[in-house]
Amino acid sequence: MARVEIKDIGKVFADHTAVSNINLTVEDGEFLVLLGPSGCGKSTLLRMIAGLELPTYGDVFIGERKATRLQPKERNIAMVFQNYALYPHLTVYENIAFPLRVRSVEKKLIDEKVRSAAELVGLTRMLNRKPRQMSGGERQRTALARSLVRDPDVFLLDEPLSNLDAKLRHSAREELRQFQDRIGVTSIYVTHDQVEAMGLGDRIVVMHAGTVRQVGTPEEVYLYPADTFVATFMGSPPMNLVSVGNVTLGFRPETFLPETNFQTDIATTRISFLVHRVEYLGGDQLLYGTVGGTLPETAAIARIPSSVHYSPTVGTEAKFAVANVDLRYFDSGSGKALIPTDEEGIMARRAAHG
Amino acid sequence: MAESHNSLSGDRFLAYATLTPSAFVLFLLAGVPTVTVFLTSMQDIGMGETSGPFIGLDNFIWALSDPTFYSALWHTFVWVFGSVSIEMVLGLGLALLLNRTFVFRGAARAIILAPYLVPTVVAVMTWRYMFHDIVGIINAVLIDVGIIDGPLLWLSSQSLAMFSVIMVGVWKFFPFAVIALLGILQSIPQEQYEAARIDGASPFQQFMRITLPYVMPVFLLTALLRTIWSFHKFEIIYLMTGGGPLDSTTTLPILVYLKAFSDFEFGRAAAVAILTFGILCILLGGYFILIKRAEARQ
Amino acid sequence: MTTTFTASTTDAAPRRNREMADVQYLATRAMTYLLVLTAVSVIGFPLFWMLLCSFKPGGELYAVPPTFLPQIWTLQNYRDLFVQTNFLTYFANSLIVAGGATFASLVIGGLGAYSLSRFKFFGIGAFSNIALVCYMLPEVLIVLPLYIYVVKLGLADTLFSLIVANTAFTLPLALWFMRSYFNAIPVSLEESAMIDGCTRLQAMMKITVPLALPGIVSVGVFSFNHAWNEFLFALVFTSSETKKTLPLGLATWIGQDNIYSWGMLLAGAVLVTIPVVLFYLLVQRKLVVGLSEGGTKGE
Repeated sequence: MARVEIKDIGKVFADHTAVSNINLTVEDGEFLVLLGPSGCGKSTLLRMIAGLELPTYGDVFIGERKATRLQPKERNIAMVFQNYALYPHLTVYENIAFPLRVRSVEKKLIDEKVRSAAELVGLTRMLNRKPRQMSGGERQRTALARSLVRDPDVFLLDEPLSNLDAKLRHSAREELRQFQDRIGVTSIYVTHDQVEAMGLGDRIVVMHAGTVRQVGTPEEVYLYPADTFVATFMGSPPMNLVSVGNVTLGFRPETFLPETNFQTDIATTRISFLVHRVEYLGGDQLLYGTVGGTLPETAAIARIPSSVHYSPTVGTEAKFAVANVDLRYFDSGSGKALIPTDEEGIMARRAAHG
Repeated sequence: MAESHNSLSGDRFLAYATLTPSAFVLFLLAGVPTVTVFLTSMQDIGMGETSGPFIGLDNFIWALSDPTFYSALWHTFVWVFGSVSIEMVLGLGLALLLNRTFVFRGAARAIILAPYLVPTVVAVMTWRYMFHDIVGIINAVLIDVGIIDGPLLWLSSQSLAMFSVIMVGVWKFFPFAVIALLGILQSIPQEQYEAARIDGASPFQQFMRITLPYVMPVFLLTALLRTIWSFHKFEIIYLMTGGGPLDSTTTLPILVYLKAFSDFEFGRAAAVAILTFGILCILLGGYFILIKRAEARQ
Repeated sequence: MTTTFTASTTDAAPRRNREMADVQYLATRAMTYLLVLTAVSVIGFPLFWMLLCSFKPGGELYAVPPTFLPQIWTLQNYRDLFVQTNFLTYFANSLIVAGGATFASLVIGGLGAYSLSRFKFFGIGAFSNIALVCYMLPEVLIVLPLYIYVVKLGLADTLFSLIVANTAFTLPLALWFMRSYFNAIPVSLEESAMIDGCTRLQAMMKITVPLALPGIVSVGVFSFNHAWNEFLFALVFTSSETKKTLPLGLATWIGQDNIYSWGMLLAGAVLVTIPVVLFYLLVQRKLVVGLSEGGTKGE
């Protein structure tokens, strides 16, 4: 196990810059998620840590070792690929044993380790199958077992759940996290799915266009997005943004509720809301409309939990509000978050930081 | 380090190390000989010699002023366009037929494609036996049916020899077109036909408006490949007729061979070989323009 | 549909609309079978005739008009072939030349194709185009200079010269085909192997090559077939009876009716064809297996 340090790293391909000037430290035993839309450079960053790409500039440290120019096999890392990269001509047993075989580990020890790894992921009865005879979930677990059979220092995962169907993805996510807690290995996980990132990560690194936009715990990233990109990338539906002059106002749909819903002793900002369409989702309902009144007319979404009794009428302006603690302010020009000036905002920030 | 990398630096070594043997072989067996053949074409090489004094472009001038070159060129065109056009039409027809469902389709396909697998020398021997003036089955059947009165000299009359050679060439090589066209036919989405039927298109209209445009790129590419290969095909003609009778089936490759290894005029043979290759290149250029135009139209 | 509903069909079974009852459908079917039958018999006839006549005794082969089925079935032609001619020598020579050229183009071309498929360095893109041009070079253009080298190097009339010349012609094909086979194998498998502790070379040998095996086998068959049928180089480079390959050996018999009978020629033709056809049938099955294995690649 080891901590991973990335210093001023960048990767320039012939036609474009994939990653530029990234600094990052992954603590020992931490589960770090690299999150961003496709093409943001997160996979390139992971591949540089793995040794599959040589950084154009900057360095990678694994443990106390400078690993920038080390071959993948010299880094003692493990990696789970998006397509799992199971060797189709080998059985599950041989797939799991492969890393040990190429290191010429003693036969008896291999058998012991393969069986214990298989048991850990619940594949004991499938060891003689070929990858093509297995379901997506089983393949994913085989890839997991193969990557962990030799006690790696760092565990890299490149969208390992994206090939599973929605239901399976949920249970696999849970298994994966429990698994990581148990063995406590430093893990770096790449995904474009913010729900996955929130559920799995100790910390999330939000990336965009080859740069890091924000690093923080899931709560920090969700509640205090560093800029408008993070604000709209995290959360579904995304944060509502209303630009008022050189300040952009941000509020999450679930904090945007009918005015009557707020107790009188809470400081709120009133916003009038014209509902265009209602989407009933069971647990809650989404109201699509435009904010207006004193604010410039802007499309917005409100998410009202079913516990709140409210029957919207389409086409009429309703009185909505947001608690002042839930309001975020961004600079309209740069998109960067502004420090809230009112008292409650500062209090809330302190509370969130513990 | 500001330069970009796609892979680790050690890989660059491996990349070139694995490619070197291939590059070496191609250089030695295709690159160097191409240069040599140019040098040879500018030498006056006597019998039994492999090199001689430089004489500039004299060999080319000889070739371009000699009627045998032009007659060989003409024979080459007849051979190439005769066989390729028949092969392509036959190939398309049989591919359409094999694309239908019927009992024993696998067996029928195997038999129809079989000539392509048969070694050329075998095809030639079988056909020569069948073409035989006296004991050949073809003459026997034609006389029996009453189409001809007496035996035809399939391979030894100047008027028939090229026709016979083309027939054997077509028989041997049309399966290539069938294979290529069957592949593309089977990839046409069936929904297109279903939509056309609902829209009221007749089978002929379906063929003209769906099938033909769909297979056209592959059809043209196949024709192009067959043209190139037929153009420098040597052994099938050489084995059928040896270029005769007289020079009625002497194509350019045959002329090169005869000049080099029968007349032992290496310089002149090399000049003819280069001219052959040059004509082929011009032909290919024209073909590519045609294909580009056809693609642009779609 | 022309079937009509009548009151007498009181069975509980539902009425079936039969396609067979459609006149147009039947006509199309009949037409298809007629065309297939014609095509198969015309195209298949020469090979059928070759096989049939190889069992005819000498006299019957020269009968006018020819008999259709052999009146006397005999294996005499085959016996003569082995006793009176160098057929076995030719066969062995062909095996050596085709085997050698196949081996060389698989090893050299396999390495080159791997490089073309996996790396993107300066010159590599141009190289694959050059290889394609080499494939298009006419044999008669290359045979002249190669003959000159063969004579100068004292390699005339050797099987080695044939192996080398055949390799030159099968190598570009091997390069192109194997490159596409390697392209079909996901790079992530190799990357995974490298992370699992392999060097690049080990990853190639342990992962990529086993997975590309069906493709390698089919390229091998193409190369073998090419060299097995090759005629021009054999004609030009070799002269002595002990160095002749099958196509050259058989070809020299043609037109020597007085020495060798048609019977032996046809028997020889049958024997040359059988290995080629068997080989293809064998590989066809391999290829199907290869394709289905390829279908699950990377998973």
